Amino acid sequence: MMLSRSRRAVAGGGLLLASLLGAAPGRAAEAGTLTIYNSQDEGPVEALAAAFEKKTGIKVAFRDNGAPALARQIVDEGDHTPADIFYAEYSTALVTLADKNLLAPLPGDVTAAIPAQFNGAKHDWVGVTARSFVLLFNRKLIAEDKLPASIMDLAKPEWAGKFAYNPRAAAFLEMVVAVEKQKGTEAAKAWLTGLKANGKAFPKNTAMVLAVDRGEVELAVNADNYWLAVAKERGADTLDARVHYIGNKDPGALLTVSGLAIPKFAPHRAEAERFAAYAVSEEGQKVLAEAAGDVPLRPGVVSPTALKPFASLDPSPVSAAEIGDAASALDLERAVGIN
Amino acid sequence: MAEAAFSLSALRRRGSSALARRGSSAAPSWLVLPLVAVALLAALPLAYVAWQAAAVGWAGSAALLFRPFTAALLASTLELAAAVTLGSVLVGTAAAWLVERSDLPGRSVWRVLVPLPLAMPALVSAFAWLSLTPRVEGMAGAVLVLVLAEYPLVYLPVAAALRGMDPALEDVARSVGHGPWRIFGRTVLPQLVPALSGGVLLVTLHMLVEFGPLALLRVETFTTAIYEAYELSYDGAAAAMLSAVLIALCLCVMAAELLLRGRRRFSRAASGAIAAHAPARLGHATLPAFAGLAALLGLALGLPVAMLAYWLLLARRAALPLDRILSAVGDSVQLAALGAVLTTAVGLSLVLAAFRRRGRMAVLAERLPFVVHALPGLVVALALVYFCLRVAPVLYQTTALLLVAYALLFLPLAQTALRPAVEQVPPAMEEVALALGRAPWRVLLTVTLPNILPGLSAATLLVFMQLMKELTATLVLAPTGVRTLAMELWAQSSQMKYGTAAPYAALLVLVSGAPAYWATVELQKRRGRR
Repeated sequence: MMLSRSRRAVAGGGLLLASLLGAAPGRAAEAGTLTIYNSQDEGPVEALAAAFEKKTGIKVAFRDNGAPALARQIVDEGDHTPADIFYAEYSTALVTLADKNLLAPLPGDVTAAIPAQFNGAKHDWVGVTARSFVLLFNRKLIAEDKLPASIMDLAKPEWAGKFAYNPRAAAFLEMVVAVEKQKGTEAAKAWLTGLKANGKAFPKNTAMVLAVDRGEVELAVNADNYWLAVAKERGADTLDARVHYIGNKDPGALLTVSGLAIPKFAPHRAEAERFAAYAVSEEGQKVLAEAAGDVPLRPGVVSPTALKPFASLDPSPVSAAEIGDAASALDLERAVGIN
Repeated sequence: MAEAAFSLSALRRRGSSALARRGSSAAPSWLVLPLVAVALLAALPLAYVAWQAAAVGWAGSAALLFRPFTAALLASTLELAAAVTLGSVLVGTAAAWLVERSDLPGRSVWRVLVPLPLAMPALVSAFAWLSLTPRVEGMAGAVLVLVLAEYPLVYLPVAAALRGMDPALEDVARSVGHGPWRIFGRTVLPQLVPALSGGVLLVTLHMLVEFGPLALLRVETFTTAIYEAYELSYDGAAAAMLSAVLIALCLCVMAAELLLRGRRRFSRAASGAIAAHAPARLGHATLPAFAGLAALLGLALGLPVAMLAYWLLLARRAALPLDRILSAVGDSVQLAALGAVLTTAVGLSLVLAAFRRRGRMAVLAERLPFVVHALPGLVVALALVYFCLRVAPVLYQTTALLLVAYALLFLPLAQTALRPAVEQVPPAMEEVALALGRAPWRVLLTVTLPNILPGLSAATLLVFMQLMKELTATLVLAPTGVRTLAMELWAQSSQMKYGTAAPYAALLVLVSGAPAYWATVELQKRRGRR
């Protein structure tokens, strides 16, 4: 009696296991689904994908991770890659793949929709949106006109202990390259050494917005979209953290570009090209602009959330192509000891 | 009848074990297959790290290893591990002594309550604290949050040891005039060493490989730095070099524990009835002791639960993304259930092989998982990605590969839970069935398995709970589109969206934490009874 009950339990367990196996997760396996390797914030890209699905009937599946992790994954996967679109938060990831000849050329009308300085040199990736580096400041602790005029000033002793930065963010590495290009490698190294001595290293960009807001630091080196995201959740009026655009072609006014590419071995090239075209179309760019703090790059589409008109940002002249894969910045940071 | 059988098996185990184990192969010969598979898979992470080091060459590896950043990480990792371990030992031992040995009012209630924080995954409590105040960010806060999460791992074995201790020794010490502190220090504490060292090993290893809560609380250790390097660098060498240091650290801790435990033996010669301990009188210390335990539970359990309730009530106003939440529950439960069944099955074959067909290979395969258990999930996951793409690209990004990682990471848990159950099945039962002409696989199915069913289900449950919480390997290996509760909690809370994160956190506690508490306490009871 006892034994037969246990046997039934064993059999029941087997059945359960079989049914679980049958229902094992694996959605991307559905035929015809477009797989997007996505490192951009989910909200805007999912809004874009939803609009694309509605318009074309093509289903979209996401794999989310950081841009370098996904890029390395595409390298490792080689011709087995399931990725149809690589949507990268940072251009450095796209350049890395372009340098390894792992991207397919994009149709001419896709790259033509976006100004050339935001695209890959070989027309194998296209910029979609951009963010601007800014100084966040706590309006109760410091007046906007007392802020440093250049990002270079933060290495000076008068700013010791007053600011936060995120040295191990991919975007920050891009800024390090901009400093290198505009001021030279030695100056960049001295600047990083100063930041290490003066600043508080934060591992998360959103955490820096909150740290400025509660006055833990007066300033933070951050991109504007993180402030916009917090403002959206909590209400801009309630925040003591404010945004200051440095402008003046300063390396601290760098624009970082998010873009997309089609991996060379993408299984659904035709559908991927339709998605790329949609992402840079007027309609797609409007969807992105509504959902994100990032600024659409297609001329004529205006972000409803932008704090300052795109044309008047006066950003750093260093382009995504010049920034490349930012490997030199990582070397510099390691030499200085912040990475 | 059953008792006679058990004592017979006990006799056999202690006495003529060689005879009992020699030829009785109720464990069919194909059991060697999982042994080989486990041995090969367990070697992969180590091979991966070596491979990456070889790829950047000696100079490149040395440059990555001996940079100032590594030294800073080493310092903070050791600081965290030492502080949390020490804190857990103090809190866990003090609580165990109060509950087991003092005249504290309501001891039977405390006995249930004190280990209850096991039900609160550290990722959830870190989230809850962080959403209350950013002051918990940093080392001190992390130590606080993690001691509150980890102390039950010291409390449980120490409480069991205090219960099982022969009071005669303490009576002798008292009779020669030793005071209560001296008795604790000279007589009780040495007997607690095995229980303590088990707890210390567990907590220290947890701290070395812990990731989610530390990343949320902004404490940099090797694990968070490995993840950052993985997220930042376009080659895998930096992450691999940091992993090498971490692996070395974990091995050191395990070796130290072996040395510490190996030298001491505390057992009673006679297993006769144990006289009850006379509870120590707390006197004036009663109120502070009572308040201390209450505060402990308030911080470890009350506060996170209250914060979750707060965010959930707040979130009710906004629309909850029910579809997304339900799909996360579905993904979590499916993956954890499949993983638990696979892990337990492999664990069972290892345990059976080790008990029924000894031999070097079996011993090695039984121990190897414990080494892998000391590795961070991320390293295991990266190794699997690397080799899978080269050897079996079909499996890449499938549930199957994720399940392999789960099994590798959690085999020791299944083995630990299964071993006592298998030990209790007298080999004679299997021998009789074999002698009567049943095929070995039928003996396994009809004799062995039904007899170890309780242990089997406890092991499955235990692994299931751990898998529900697993984050790092899942992040890397999950099939595209799969989002588990832990992944959602991680994604939302690292963007500081506390309201959005709260439902996932609450579900994680309900689905994984509550049964985890139950299973661990049950297991402890069963061990205590043996």
